[in-house]
Order: sequence, then C-alpha cells, then structure tokens
Amino acid sequence: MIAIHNSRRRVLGAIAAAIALPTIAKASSRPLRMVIPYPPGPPDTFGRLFADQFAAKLGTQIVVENKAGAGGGVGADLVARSQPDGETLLFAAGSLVGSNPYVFTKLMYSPEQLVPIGLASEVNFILTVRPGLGVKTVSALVDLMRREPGRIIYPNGGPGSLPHLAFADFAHGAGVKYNDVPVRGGNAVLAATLGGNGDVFVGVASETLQQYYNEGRLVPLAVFSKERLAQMPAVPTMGESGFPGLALLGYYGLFGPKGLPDSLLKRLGEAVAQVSADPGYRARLTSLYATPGSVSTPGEFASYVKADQAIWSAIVSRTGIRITE
Amino acid sequence: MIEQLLVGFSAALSWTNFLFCFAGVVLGTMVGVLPGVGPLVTISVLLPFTYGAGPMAGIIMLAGIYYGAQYGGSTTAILVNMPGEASSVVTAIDGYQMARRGKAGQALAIAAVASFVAGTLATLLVALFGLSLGRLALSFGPPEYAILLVLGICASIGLSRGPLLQSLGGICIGLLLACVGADVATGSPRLAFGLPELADGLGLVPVALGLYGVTEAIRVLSAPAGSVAEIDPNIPVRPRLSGAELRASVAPTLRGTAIGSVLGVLPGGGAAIASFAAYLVERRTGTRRELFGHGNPAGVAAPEAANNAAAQTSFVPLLALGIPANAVMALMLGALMIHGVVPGPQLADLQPTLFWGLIASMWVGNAILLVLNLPLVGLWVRLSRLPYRDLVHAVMICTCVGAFSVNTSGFEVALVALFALLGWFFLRTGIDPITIMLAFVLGAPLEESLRASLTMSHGDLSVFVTRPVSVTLLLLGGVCLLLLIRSRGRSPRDSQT
Repeated sequence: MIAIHNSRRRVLGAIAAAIALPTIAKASSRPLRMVIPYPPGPPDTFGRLFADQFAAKLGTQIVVENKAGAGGGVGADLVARSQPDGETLLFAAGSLVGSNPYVFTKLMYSPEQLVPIGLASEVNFILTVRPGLGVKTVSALVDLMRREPGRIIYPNGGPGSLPHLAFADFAHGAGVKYNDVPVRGGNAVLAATLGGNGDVFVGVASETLQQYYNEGRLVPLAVFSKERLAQMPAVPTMGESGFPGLALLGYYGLFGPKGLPDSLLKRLGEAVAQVSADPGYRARLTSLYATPGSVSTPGEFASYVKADQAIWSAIVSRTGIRITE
Repeated sequence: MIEQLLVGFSAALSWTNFLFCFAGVVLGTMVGVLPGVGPLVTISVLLPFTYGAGPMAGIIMLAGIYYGAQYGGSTTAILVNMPGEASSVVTAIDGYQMARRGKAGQALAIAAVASFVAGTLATLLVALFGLSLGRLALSFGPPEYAILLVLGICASIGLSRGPLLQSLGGICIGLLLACVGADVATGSPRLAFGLPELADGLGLVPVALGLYGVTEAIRVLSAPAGSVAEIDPNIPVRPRLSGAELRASVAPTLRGTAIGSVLGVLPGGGAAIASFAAYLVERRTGTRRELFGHGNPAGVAAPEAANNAAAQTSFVPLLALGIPANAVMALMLGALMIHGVVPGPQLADLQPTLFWGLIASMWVGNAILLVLNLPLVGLWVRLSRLPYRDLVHAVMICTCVGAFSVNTSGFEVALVALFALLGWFFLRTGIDPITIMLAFVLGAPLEESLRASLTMSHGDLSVFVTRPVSVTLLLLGGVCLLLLIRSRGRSPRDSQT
C-alpha cells in the first residue's frame, strides 16, 4: 500500500513539476519593456536599432514602447517609478540626466531615480550656416556677429537642448549676441535656415546634413568634437577654430530604475558592451554619423555620465540658461 | 523623367512591392475607418515587421497605410458623424447629412472617386514637379505661415452656421484650447493644471471624438422617440450615382485637388487645413450653394479630394528635402533610416529606384483603394440602414478603444467624456463647434509662427508686409474676407439644420 502511495505521489509530483516548468521558464524570459521617451521617428531610430541588437545579445524579447511627452520627461518618469526588476528600462538621450536637471528648475522625473546601465551611441554637433551669410570659418562668423550684434538669427528648435546650450556657450565665449527665434523642433530649424529665415544653427551630424553640405546649400563651419569626423575630414573642430573648450557631444544610453540588483546590472551592462562591440551595429552607427563610444561596464558608464553632467552644468552656469516653470 | 517613372513603375509592380502596397492600403483603410486608431499608431506598430523586407517594400507598405487611412477616415465621418482625423471633420458636415437623407452610398462613392482622382493628379504633380515644389515650399517662412493660418481661422467663420459673434467666440475658445501644452520658447507646460498628460497639449483625436462623435450619439439617443428620421430601409444597397451627380462633382474635385496639393507641400503641415480650405472655396464658388450643410455632394468631393492630394504631396518635403512635414512623415523618416536610407536633397540622385518606385506605388495604391472601396460601399450602406440606436454601442466601443490607443492611457478617454459634455452643452444651446475645432487645430502652429515672425523682426509688425509671399497672401486673404463679410451681411444665416 505504502509503495503504491509513494509511486502515485511521485507521478503526481512529476506532473506538477511539468506544469510548473513552463511558468518558471516564462517568468525568466518575459519580454523586456524598453521605453523610448520620444515619438516614433528620429531620434527613436537610434533606440530601435539598439533594441534590435540588445534583444539578440540578451536572448530576451524586447518590446519597444514609445512614451513621448514633455521632452522625454513622461517616459523617464515612468521608468524611474517602475519596479527595479529589470523588466522596464529606459533608452534615452543623455541630456535627460546630463543637462536637464541644471537647465530646468522643475522636472517631472527625478534623475537620481535613474541608474546608468550602458552607453549606446554618441552623436556629434556641427556648427552650420546658410551660404548667403558669406562666412566659411568660425572666426568669420564671429566677426560678422560682432559687427552686427543681435542681427544673426538662431532658430531655436529646442530651448534648453544640447545644441542650444552648445551654441549659447559658443556665443558666450566669443562675446557675441544673436537673435534667438523659437521654432518647433529640429526640422523647423532646418526648414527655416534653408529658406533664408534662419542664419546659423547647431545640427546633429547626419547624412541629410551631409547632402546639404555637398550641394552647397548649407555650410559646415566646425564640429564640436575632439577630433575631425571621419566622414567630413575637411571640416575643422571647434578646438582648431579657436574654441578649445567646446569639445562636446551628445549620447544615448540605457538607464534603469534605481535599486536594480547588482547581478542584473552586471548582466545588462555586459549585453550593452556586446552590442557596442558588434561589427554590424558599429557599421549602422557609422552610416548614421554616430559612434559607439568606449564604455564597457555600468560603473564606467556611471563615471561617464558624471563627467558629462559636469560639462553641461558648467555651461549652464556660464550662459545662465535656465528655464523656469 | 518618363524613363525614371517607368523604372519606378516596374519596381512598384514587382510581386513583393505590390503585395506590400496592397497590405498597406487595406490596413490603412481599416485603420482609417476606426475612429481614434490612426495611421501613426499602426505604422509604428508595424515598423519592426518591415525590417526583413528591405527599404522599398517597407516604405511602400507604410505609405499605403498613411494614404489608405485618408480613404477610410471619411467612412465613419459620413456614416455616423464621427471623424477620426482632422481631415475628415469637414467631410462629415455634408457627408453625414447625405447619409441621413439615405444617400450614404452616393456620399461614400463620391468620396472614393474624388480621392482617387485627387491621388492620381497629385502623384503626377509629385513626379513632375516634386523637387521644385520642395524648394518652393521653403520660401514659406514663419510670417507666411502666420498669415496663412490667420486667414484660415478667419475664413472658418464662413463654415459656421451660427451668428458672427458666436463664431468669434468659438475662435477664442479654440485658441484657448490650443494654448494648453508646452510653450514653444521655454518648453514649460501651460494650462496643464500640473497633469503630465496635458504637458504636451490636448490631442486632436479626443477632442474631435468628444465634440462630434459622442455628441451625435447623445443627440440621437436623447431625441424624443420617433422625432429622429430613421433612414428608409428600402434604399438600394448598390446606389447608382446619376450622371448629373457625377458631373457636378468634377469641378469640386479638381478644385479640391489643387488646394490640397499646394497646402500639403508646406512642411509643418498645411494638410490639416487642406480640407477646410477646399470646403470653404466650394462654398464660395460652387453651384447650388444653398445645399451646403444639407448634403451637397460637392461638400464631400472637394474636401476628400483635398485631403488625399495633401496626403500624397506631404511626401514632397521628405523626399525632396529630407524634412518630414508631420508626425507620420517623421515616422517614415525613421523607418527609412532604420533601413539604412537617409533622405536628403540628393535622394532622387542617390536612390532613384527607391524615389521613383515610391512615387509609382502611390498611384498603384490609389488604384487598389478605388477598386477596394467601391464594392465596400454596399457593405457600408447595409450598415447605415440599421437604426442608429443599434449601432451606437459599437460606435461607443470604437470611440473608447480609439481614444485609449492614442497614448495607451485612459486619460484620453476621460478627455473624450469631457468634450462630449461640452458638445452636449453646445447642442442644447445651438452653438456650432466648427470654429472651435478649426481654431484649436490651427492655434498652436499660428502661435509658433507669430512668435517666430515677431522675434525675427524684433517686434516690427512690418515684417508681414515687406515680404513678397506674405503680402500676396494678405491681399488675397483680405479680398476673400471682404467678400465673406459682405455676403453675411446680405443673407442671414440659418442657425440650425
């Protein structure tokens, strides 16, 4: 009797385990939710590219969710408040933690609630003018702006954004004044300048801009990076043009809610590093005029973020750009 | 040019591309029919599925969804007075009246044919003049936009059925609603009452669904039994469009196409006002003007032609300049970039097959849509013969799902309810909400253009009269407004249908 009972128990136990197994398996391979706090279209493109690769390296399915609003604030807030179980992550521009806390007096998310995981890509800025202005170098532009203070129009597509801060720092360093005209978004900036309604802007390096440079409809004056861009060897850096302090770039990174367990952080960080090392990903970034950066652990990324914050907070205090509620 | 177009056609008609085009337009029509669920959501959801197919097939499908949605959007506007997009609001004015008179089939057929003709002509325009149109569009700077939008808002008075003072009041309310959201110069939220969902403004979809769709449901359901004329269940399922009706629709279609093609090219989206403008022009110049607002086929043909033409030409800034004209085009830009193609001014030279293939497939898509939609008219007419009380449950479910899908949040559904309350108030007081809608849609771009213009000129108002395009628009607009005011003085408006 006891023997039969035992074997029945064992059978029942085996059946129970068989039922439980898929549930356990499912729990560990539930799709990861990657929040991109921008509407679909660039810059969300960088996020989708990254998500594709990241899913492959991590071995989990990733669901991309666009949660746009308040310049990224809505999505950032969502992730900052979510459970630190590794199921909700944020792919965002570094400006969310790097410059926004210094520019905006009231944020709808707490940057301290976001923990840096890994660097996805870096983008460069190019000081661009319309050809009708008649300047081909940074010094010529500065001379023009000194001769006619406040006449040069800077179409501002994003107040408090990195291009805006970069340009303001440049103007501050050169001691010149300009006419800041607010327009809605980067596309409006491009349209305004091409149509002669804007004079100078700071653009994010892209193939689109390159085509305009090739056609002569826009003139690149200098890149805001430490070294000349491989795709534009003829364009000097701001350092070479007399502004050594303006070695700036923007970046996109993966962030998670505070409280992520160390083991999870390590695993995610390793996956990000693998993505950055992937030759296919690197090639796609190059075609998008971006670079993968050289950060390989969450710890290194955290220091990277801190260094970036120091740069932008200094710029904000120098230029006095502060946006109050 | 012709050889390039032929190359484009041969690419567009390859099996893969044709299939993707077909899938896109069918999906787009379905999506357009459902109020609230728009092409933007659909395209972003389907984007990952196009990765494997290569850039051309992927873009063709996504484009098909976009202009397919324009075809579908008019269906619910005509059948149940529920516009799902800005462009369908105007179609609802006469289209729904036609449906209430048992002519839903004719209205739908006219909409389909007008859209096809407009799509064909607009595609031709893009093929022939796309690149030059793009450059021309750049000459529209902030002052020109500002004038255009002011004219648009003032002209909306011509759309309203109420007294002048009421229309002006509506404009004020609409502008106030448009102020909700992020300030363009500082990014700080205005009139958001601390709610993050309002930090970027009120969405068009919840407002339109509440003010029009749900309000109509309230109107029908609250009317005393028997007082609402039910549609005669004996009307033929396959209505014949009389030769006279077809002939009467030709001129409005052509006028609508012209207006839509021009407005669609402006980056920053003149497409939103394309259908309003076309309708207004029809009111001024069309025949049988007394029928407007009571089911005039021209009132369906013109805005439908305009919004489809605008949908085609809104690709021009993207393809010719690399600048997306609206949110859907920005998504296309992202899709192209993911496939490794970055549009810019040299796209036609660097990627001729893609460029001309896309243009050719736009025509193919229009043809598919016509063939698809005409037979579907019978299905819709059958649906419209049901008493509204039976339909209203499905309509309300679609409304809620649609509103929810805008931002996967229940907030938009609450907004629909709020605006439905407002709509009920307007219903009881006999106020026509059309000026509110138009001022709301145009308010934000108007403010941005005005501020940019005045900042550019350091506060000097003469900027509006010293630029050639701006002055032309002012003069044109001034003349139109004078005519408008004179005619209002002559014939008193009837205030309620």
